[in-house]
Amino acid sequence: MLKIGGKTFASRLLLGTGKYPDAETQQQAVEASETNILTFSVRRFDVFAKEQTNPLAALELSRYDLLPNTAGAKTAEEAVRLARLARASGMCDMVKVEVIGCDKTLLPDPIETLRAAEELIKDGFIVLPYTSDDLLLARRLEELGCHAIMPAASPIGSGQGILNPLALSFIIEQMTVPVIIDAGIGSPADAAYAMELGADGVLLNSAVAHANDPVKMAQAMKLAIEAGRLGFEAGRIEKKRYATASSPTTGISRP
Amino acid sequence: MQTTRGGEYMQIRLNGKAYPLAEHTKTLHDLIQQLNIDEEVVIIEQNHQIIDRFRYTDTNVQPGDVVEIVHFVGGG
Repeated sequence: MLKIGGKTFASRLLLGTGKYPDAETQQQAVEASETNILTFSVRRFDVFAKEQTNPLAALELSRYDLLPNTAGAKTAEEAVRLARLARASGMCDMVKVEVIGCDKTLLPDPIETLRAAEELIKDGFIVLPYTSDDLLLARRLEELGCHAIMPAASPIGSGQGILNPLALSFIIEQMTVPVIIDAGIGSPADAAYAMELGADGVLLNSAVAHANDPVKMAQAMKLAIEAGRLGFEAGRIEKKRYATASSPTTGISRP
Repeated sequence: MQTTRGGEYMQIRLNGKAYPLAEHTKTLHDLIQQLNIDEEVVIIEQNHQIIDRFRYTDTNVQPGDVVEIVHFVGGG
């Protein structure tokens, strides 16, 4: 079970709600993923549109724990404002702190992320910061009281998978709070690998939403995360340079 | 024609644009009605203050107010 800020979740997959081809596919993918936690963003309501549409209408939000992000924020102040707006919905008390420092790489601004996290923790939020794979930054975030640490595997939406397993494993080994690998996951193999490294969960969006068949990929990710977790708990064998026979080397029958 | 109240044009800044208020729009609740929005799905900020949902009916809208109406959209 995944435990974050006093809440317990059966699923270790956190799923984004953006970029699906249509609402029906989004709903079916969410269903197939068996996730407990959905992420989403806060944006201006199109007050001037003739037809008002609710982009999350197909989802039964009350069945999930909601994790709004602060995407769009470039400063701590902007992130804190977006988090407070999200909480004012009365639907959530968790927040994914996301303060982007570079438009091209979408890498997080570490200083602003720290400042936002500090303010939101003081304000009583359950805080899950999106961060780089820097161990010392992860430590600082944990010391502030963050409820989970969410290092990127590779740039957001890039699908490059896990580029630096060593850095991620340093974070995983040293954190007391859950570590959720967030961003960059491309395939089920990437998700399973993250879990085999000992991550407590995986947050992904594009890998499912932009797959040829998002519903099937959502199920694949669910299974990969379960398999990776079981593999981690089981403890893999050591890698050896030479072969070791699986069958008995004695009693071989020869004519 | 634009309505006036006390000689002032009843105009607010709504989601970054100038927006004329109808004469009967006195509160945030009225504004939501004027815009034909389902108030369950939006969050409102007035002059940089988040307004609690249950206070829409007793929160007045004044000329020159800066109002942001936001909601949840898909995101990762």
